[in-house]
Order: sequence, then C-alpha cells, then structure tokens
Amino acid sequence: MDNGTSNSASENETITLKSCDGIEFHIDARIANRYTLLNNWNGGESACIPNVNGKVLEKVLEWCEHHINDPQLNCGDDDSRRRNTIIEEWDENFLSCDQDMLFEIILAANYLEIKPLLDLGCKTVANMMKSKSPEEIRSAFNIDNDYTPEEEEQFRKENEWAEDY
Amino acid sequence: MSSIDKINQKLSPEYFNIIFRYLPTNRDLYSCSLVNRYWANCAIPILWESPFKINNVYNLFPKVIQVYLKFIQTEELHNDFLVNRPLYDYPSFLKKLPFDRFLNSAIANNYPETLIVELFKILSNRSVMLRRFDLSQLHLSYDNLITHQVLPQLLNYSSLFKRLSYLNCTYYLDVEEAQQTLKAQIFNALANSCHNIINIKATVWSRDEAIALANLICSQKWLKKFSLINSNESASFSIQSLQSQAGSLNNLTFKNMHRDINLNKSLRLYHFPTECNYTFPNLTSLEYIYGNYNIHDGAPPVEILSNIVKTNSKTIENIIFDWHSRNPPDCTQLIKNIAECTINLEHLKTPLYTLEQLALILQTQNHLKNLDIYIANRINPYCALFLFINMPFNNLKNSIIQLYFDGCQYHRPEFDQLKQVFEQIFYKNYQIENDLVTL
Repeated sequence: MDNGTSNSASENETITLKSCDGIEFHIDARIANRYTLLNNWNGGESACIPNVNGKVLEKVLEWCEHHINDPQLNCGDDDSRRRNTIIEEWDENFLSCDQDMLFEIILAANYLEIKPLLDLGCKTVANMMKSKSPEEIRSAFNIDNDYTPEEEEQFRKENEWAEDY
Repeated sequence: MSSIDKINQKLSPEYFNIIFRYLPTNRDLYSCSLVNRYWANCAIPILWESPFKINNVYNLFPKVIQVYLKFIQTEELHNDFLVNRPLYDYPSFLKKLPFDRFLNSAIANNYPETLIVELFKILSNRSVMLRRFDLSQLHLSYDNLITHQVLPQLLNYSSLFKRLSYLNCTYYLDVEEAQQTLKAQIFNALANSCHNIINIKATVWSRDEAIALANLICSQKWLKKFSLINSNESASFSIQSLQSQAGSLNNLTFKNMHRDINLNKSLRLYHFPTECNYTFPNLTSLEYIYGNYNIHDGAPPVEILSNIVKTNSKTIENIIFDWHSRNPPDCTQLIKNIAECTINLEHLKTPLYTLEQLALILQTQNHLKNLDIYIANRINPYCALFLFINMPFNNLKNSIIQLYFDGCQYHRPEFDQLKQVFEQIFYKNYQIENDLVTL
C-alpha cells in the first residue's frame, strides 16, 4: 500500500532485503521508501521477509523498480467496481507468467502492502475471466462445478437479469 | 475440488472481492458466480450491490423485482419459508440505489405504490446501509402519489442512509412548489441521518431548498466533492455553507448553470455570494460549465472564479471553464491569475478572448498535461497558431492540446495555408505530439 512518503533517499543508497529462503536483494532505497513494509525489513543479517520466497520477491522488486517514478496515487473507494481492465504493455508482459507465479505475486503484493501491484495482479486475473462462459472459466482455472443441477437451475433463474446485461 | 484448482487453494475471498470488482460487466460476474459455490459466495454480493442500475427497464426490472418479491412472500407466509427460499439473501447486498430509475421502472411496469413501500421494508428489516443514492432523472408529476408518499416513507428509514457516501439530488419536478417542498424535506432528513457523505451533487431553485442543502453540507464530516447543477441564485446559501467543509473539499463544480430553458419561470442569472470566503486548502479541481450553448446571455461570475483561482492557487491542478457568452466577459484578471498564480496546474480548459491571454498562458503554463482552449472569434486563427509555432523548445512537451476556433468569419483559413502553418508547428515544435484542431 502506498504510504504517501516522499522519496527522500538518494539514487545511490541501497538497502538489503532477505527472502524467507535466505536470498538477499540489494535494492534502491527509494523503493523501500515508497512501501513501508519493505523499509521495515531493511537490515540484512537477521531480518528476512517471511512468507515470500526469493523467486517471488525478485519479481516483486523488479516491478517496484520499474515503477519507481510513478506518481503515488491515493487509494480509491475499495467498495466500488472499477470496470477498467486496461493494462500497460510492460505490466502485461511482466505478468505473463504461469498462474502459480501470478497468484504468488498477488499474495506477496498484499502481504507487503504494495497496493498498485496487488490491483494489477487482480486485474490480470479478472482479464482472464472476462467474456468467458462458466465452462470456459472452469477450464482456464481447472475448477470443478459443485452445483447440483437443481441448484444451478434455481441460481440461473434468480440471477437471470444479470445474464442479459 | 480438482487437485490442480490452484486459484481456490491460494486465494481467499478477500482476493476474489478485488478480482471480481475488475470485471467489466454484470454478465461477467454472473458467469463467475456459476463456476462453483465458492465463487458464487464471492460474486453474488457484488452483483446485487446495484441491481437497479439497468438500462433495459421493461425486461430486466421485473426480473429483479420478482426475486425481491420472494422475500415479501416468505416473510408474510412463514410456513412457506423453507420451501421456495432463494439461494441468497439478495436484498441485504444492496448498496447503490438509483431511486429515480427504480421509481420510473416501477411506474413503467405498473407496480402499485404499496408494493414499492413493501420492498423498502425489506431493506429496512435487513439493516441495509446504502452507499449511494440517486435522484436525478425523475419525470413525475405533482399528482403522482409515488413521489409524495413513497419517498418520505423511505426517508423515515434513517438507518438506510447512515453510511451514505454519494448523494445525487439533481432532479426537478414539473410543478415547482412540489419540487421545493420535497427536496428541502430530503435534504433536511438526510442532514439528520447521514454525516459521512463524500460527494454531493445537487440542484436548488428556492431559498428553502438551498437552506436545507446548506444544513446537509454543514452536517457532513468530510465532504470532498460538491457539484451544483442547473441552479439559480438561491444556491448562495448553500455555497456559503461550503466553508464548513474547507478542510476536506477538493473538488468544486458548477455545471449547466445556464442550461434550463424549459422551466416556466424565466431564468435569472446565478450570482455567487461575493462576501463568501473561498479558501479551500485542499482544492484541486474547479469547474464552471455553462451548459446549453444556445443560451448566450448569461455572463459567468468571472470575478469570483478569479478569486477562487487566486486564493487556492497552490493546490489547484484542474481548471475547466466552459462558457460561450455573446458578449465576452472581461477575463483579463482571471487568465492572469491562472497564468501567474497556479503552480501545480495540469489540466486547463478555458475560453480566451485576446492574443495576449493566449500568449500569457503559453508562456507560463508550459508543463500542462492537457490544454483545451476555446479561441474567440476576435482572434485571428493564424496569429493564434503562430504563437504555437514560436513557442520555446520543450514547452508543452507531451501535452494533449485541443483548440476550438469560434466562428472565424473574418479570418476563414484556407486549407493550403492551414497546412503550411501546421507543417511549421510540427517542424519547429515537434514535441507537440497530439494536436487536435477543430474549425
């Protein structure tokens, strides 16, 4: 999550982060300045980020580095529907990975409170669902249908209005 | 569940809540809710937040209402409760109520007033708390019982509005007296029950309405956006009350202020209160939009707008002034304040009446993201374009520039000449990437 702090660190300053599997990353201090939680783990030796492994942390930090000069926007109303599914080309390529890694990035972004990356990951997953039938979505994510036929029929009837819109 | 069903294994409902809110249509949400029960539990509350915001009123509205009706039936016929019980408690998810569309749809489908009252009882019984309430497109007459009986009853359910964050009350009725009484009643009722509104859009045409709106504004904790739409001078009372929100207000809009030519009463010019304090420490956006271009007689309140720009010059990022007055107002001071006082301006739309004004803007505001200028017919289009040709290198780099030339009857440009001018602009100032010109 953006904390609204200014990037007071200079370009040459670096900090050290360690993933839960012990891999160290030396990153631009300005990145950590943007995201409070990253800054909290600065310290090298004993401080490591739990729950995020080196492979995922590397991807997350790559994204942070690319977006280091982005304006820090205030978070909008989390209850509203966005309906904007446009993703910039670099971000689209960045998240063109297997589903496993995509979900891990989303989890890490949430854990590290990097809200723009969390939103981007979720938007990417949403784009994988849009304009698809339930069957196509199940196939895309390997999900089984656990509705009974009667239940599904009732469900379709009660939500029929949304099918037309 | 499949062994490779990783999305459900990894992502908890809080993630699906974010993902599903990025789906562009209700149909997408509907498809997701049919994937399996887990997904339905996440998607249905979002889908039913705003079921009445539908375009196909005749076909779709009855389908939504039929589901709501099941709850009336089950509550009245307790023995039948388990037999035809809906799969979800759909009404409990309602967050956004476009009451205007709801009423218009109910009337179009011949639903009786009593039924509509019953539907609102369902909401009240479930402690539904609306986030958004719209009353903008009512096309009802004074005699219509629904407006005068249903709406006051709805307002009695004060808990329904307790967490309202967006209010759009810009409707007017055919009969002025009815409108005034009802709207003042709405504003006063909401002033008592809700204090967390962030965004208010309102239309006021009488002193009573304006005082009630002022009451509503003053009772809010952190109003951020205020839009006055199609209103007359009565709104002064409301404008003065905006000082109570000076710490939070960041967006001030006046729209369609000279629009309404259909009202029986002749339109009088809207006047801002001159004695008002217009300092808003967080104001980032200021808009004053004329509305119907056929009305050319009203002069915009240039002096007051000029003061607002000057007193809030450090924070303003977005200025939109849009008017077409037959007798051009004296905007010298206004343009000077925009050019010389604002330091964070990113988007500017304004009419300009002299070459000096255009030159001043180009000279001082050279880092804008958007520049949108209406160039009055007194200005020779060639001279205006030559100012762009002679701009210093790197000025307005990466800006989107739109120029609207009014009339040009005295200086109608020839295509070939125009082509030459643009070739020079692109040649000498190739940093102008997206230059749209409308003649």
